[in-house]
Amino acid sequence: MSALLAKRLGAIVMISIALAGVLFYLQKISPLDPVHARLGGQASASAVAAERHRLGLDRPEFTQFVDYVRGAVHGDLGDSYRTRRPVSTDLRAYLPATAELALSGLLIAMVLGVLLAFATTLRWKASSVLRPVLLLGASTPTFLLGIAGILLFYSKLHWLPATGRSSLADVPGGPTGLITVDALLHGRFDVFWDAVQHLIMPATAIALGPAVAIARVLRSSLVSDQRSDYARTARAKGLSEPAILIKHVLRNCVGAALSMTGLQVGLMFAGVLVIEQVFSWPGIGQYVAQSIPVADFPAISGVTLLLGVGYVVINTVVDLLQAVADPRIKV
Amino acid sequence: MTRATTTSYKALAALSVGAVALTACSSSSGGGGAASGSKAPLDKVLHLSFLQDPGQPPDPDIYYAGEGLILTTNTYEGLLTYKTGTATPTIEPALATKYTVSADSKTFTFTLRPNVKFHDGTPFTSAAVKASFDRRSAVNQGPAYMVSDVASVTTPDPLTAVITLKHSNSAFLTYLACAYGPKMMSPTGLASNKGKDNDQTYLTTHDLGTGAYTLTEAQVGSKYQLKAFDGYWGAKPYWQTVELPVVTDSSSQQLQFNSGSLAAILHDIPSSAVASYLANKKVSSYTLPSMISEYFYVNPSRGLLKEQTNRTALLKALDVDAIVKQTYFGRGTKAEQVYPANVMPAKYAKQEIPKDTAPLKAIVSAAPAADKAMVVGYDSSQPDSQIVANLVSAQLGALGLTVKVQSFPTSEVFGWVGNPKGAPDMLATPGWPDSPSPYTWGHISFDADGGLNYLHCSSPQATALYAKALQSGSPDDYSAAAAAASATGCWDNMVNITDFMVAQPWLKGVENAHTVSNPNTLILAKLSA
Repeated sequence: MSALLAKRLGAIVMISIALAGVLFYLQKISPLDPVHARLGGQASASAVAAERHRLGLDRPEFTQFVDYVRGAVHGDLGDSYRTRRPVSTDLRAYLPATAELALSGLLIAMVLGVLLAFATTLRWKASSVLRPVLLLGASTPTFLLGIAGILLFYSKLHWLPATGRSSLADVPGGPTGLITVDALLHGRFDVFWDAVQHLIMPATAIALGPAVAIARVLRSSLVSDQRSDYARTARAKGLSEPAILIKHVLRNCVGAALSMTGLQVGLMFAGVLVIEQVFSWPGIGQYVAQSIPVADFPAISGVTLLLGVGYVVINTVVDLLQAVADPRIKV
Repeated sequence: MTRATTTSYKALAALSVGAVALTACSSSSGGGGAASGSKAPLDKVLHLSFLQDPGQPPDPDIYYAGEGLILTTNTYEGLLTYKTGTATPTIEPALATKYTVSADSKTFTFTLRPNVKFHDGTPFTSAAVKASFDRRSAVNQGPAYMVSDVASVTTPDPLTAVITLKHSNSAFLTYLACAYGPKMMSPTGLASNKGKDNDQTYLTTHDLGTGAYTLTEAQVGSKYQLKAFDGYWGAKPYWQTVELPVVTDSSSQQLQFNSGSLAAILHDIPSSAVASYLANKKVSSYTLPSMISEYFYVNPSRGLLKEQTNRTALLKALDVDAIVKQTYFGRGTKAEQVYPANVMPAKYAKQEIPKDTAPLKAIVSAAPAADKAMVVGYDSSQPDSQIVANLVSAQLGALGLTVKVQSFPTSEVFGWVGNPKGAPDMLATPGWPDSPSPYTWGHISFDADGGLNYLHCSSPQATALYAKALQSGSPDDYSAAAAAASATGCWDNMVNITDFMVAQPWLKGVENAHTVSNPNTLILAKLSA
């Protein structure tokens, strides 16, 4: 395991440096001018020059790059040109919202994925409804699902709120930043329920695609292992099909589904970035969407590095989980 | 001042606008909001919203865009202000009760309002005038130019402040009264929160003003909140709390308004929704006077357009009436002056670009094929400008030109001011002046060193006339400068855009809370139910 962790740590370092290098090259060749955009039309030439110097943009690119990497190692990702706060501070403010949304989406995807896999494998009657509904959802663009959800569940039925993370004014401010978790830690069930209501639509919108992908892989493994010798033996002992699947087959099949889950988490982050716009979800997707038009390179770089590192970490966790689920897999 | 970047996902929003429009007429209660569509909230909490985060801190020495003005203009006050509820810019006393101006427009003496308190409880005196002017210079961001010509601020007594300029400036009073002008900040607060950045960090989430409201919450990208200031010197506001969550999608914002969760939408309502709201009798629509213009720029360093006669022919060939009708229906009119509407009385600075396609047809028929291909650009954050660019492309296409429409990010458009490489042949983008002085628009747009002179066109004659007009303040001088700039064929003030807002019928005082020079915002203390 330590070898895997060392390898993945190395990957994080290499990916981070490569991403930072690519971003700096793009910044160099880009015609965008964050200083003029930041100061506006009336700014004098001396104010523009002073600001360019203050931001360090008048130094050679290589020097800027080395300083950036050095700062990043110490957790300093520079200051956002737009919010004028340290990018690390901004990420700490925005990341919990994205994490809560992504984790909720992942949870829904896994539950729906397993449900669909079992329903189709065991040929439950419900699968004839569940399957086309999920397939339709998965083949619909995420933003369209979001908008359709708002129109139906907010505008017409008035069941769910349209935007934001909470409608309440006195939401507990910590310690995790995940409102659902913080609400439970503070014993605030009203806040918890309110936050869950806000999560349902965006989390479901990003979960449908991954749910179908997970279900497909899991179902394929389940069907294959259902015909294996050990399943046949269990059947001969008189166990029911659901019991065989849950007690014997599932654990053998979960590895492939976990791999797919790891891949889907990466795709889910892409979905999160779009869905945050639709639901005014104050996460890193919204942060980066507002940073791009004004060429806020420190913010864009910070988010990119965070997503790159996050992807490696998630896949490492998936590898470890696979080993836990199936002892035949060595890490 | 160009319109702030409001959303990078407006294209996405546009996809859903049609669906939202269908629901716009079904204003009903519910939807998880605090207010129903037909009844005012009893808790005196006003629910508004931002479409995208304001993008810059609510610090009046930094904030230099549009939608965030609702924060800076309601928490801070200047020495002077502009009268609300009128299309004619009229300077009124604010924290100064009266003033005198020397004959050479260099010395301004202000008598300050007594018994005014800052939000931190300290009294407003002349010391605040000096501290506030000093801070604006020290921070040195976009609006700092307004105090760059100040030679001294003296304080003979606690209720008198004397500002002396290095040069005559007939526009100085307009700087003091406008939304981006110097605002008074508590010297005590400035000193105790100065840090290493002249209070910039502190003023990201707090305020140090005297306004009717104080900033009580500022979660960047998520929500802002204002609360009525008990110690305000003026009439006490009706609304005790103003909630301003950040909504990132226009269609979601409209749905929340339609269901009664929001009291009003103050800015950036898409063209497609405007007609729907105008026809909806269940909501109140306001077409308020503003100084916003859709401006059209022509690049004098590109192909055919290097010739002044060709540029003029191109501008004459555009059917601006059709552009206004198809883009700004219900909230815009064809501009008749070189400056944005309401900057000068209608008889001054007339723009004479009569429609005539024949000259351009003749030029195009004789031009080499390479010169017939052009690019018309627009700011990618401005969906209305995209429509304008599309219409221009179609109109010029019919005359033999091949005009490609291309979007450019805001930061790239601003970047052309320093480096014009990559700039298009033509550009459509909206904007408004910082103050109602023709100088603030003419200088930044038409002078060679102007910050909005994106395509680097200028006229020495116009520059000289602007320098003269700044000293004299004469409308005739500003008209002459405008005529010289217009003669270059580089600009067409196409559309006078109004501030289009929608509100629940119970929200009273919207028209009287609007200031012609302050786009996208209202003076909240003038609203009631």
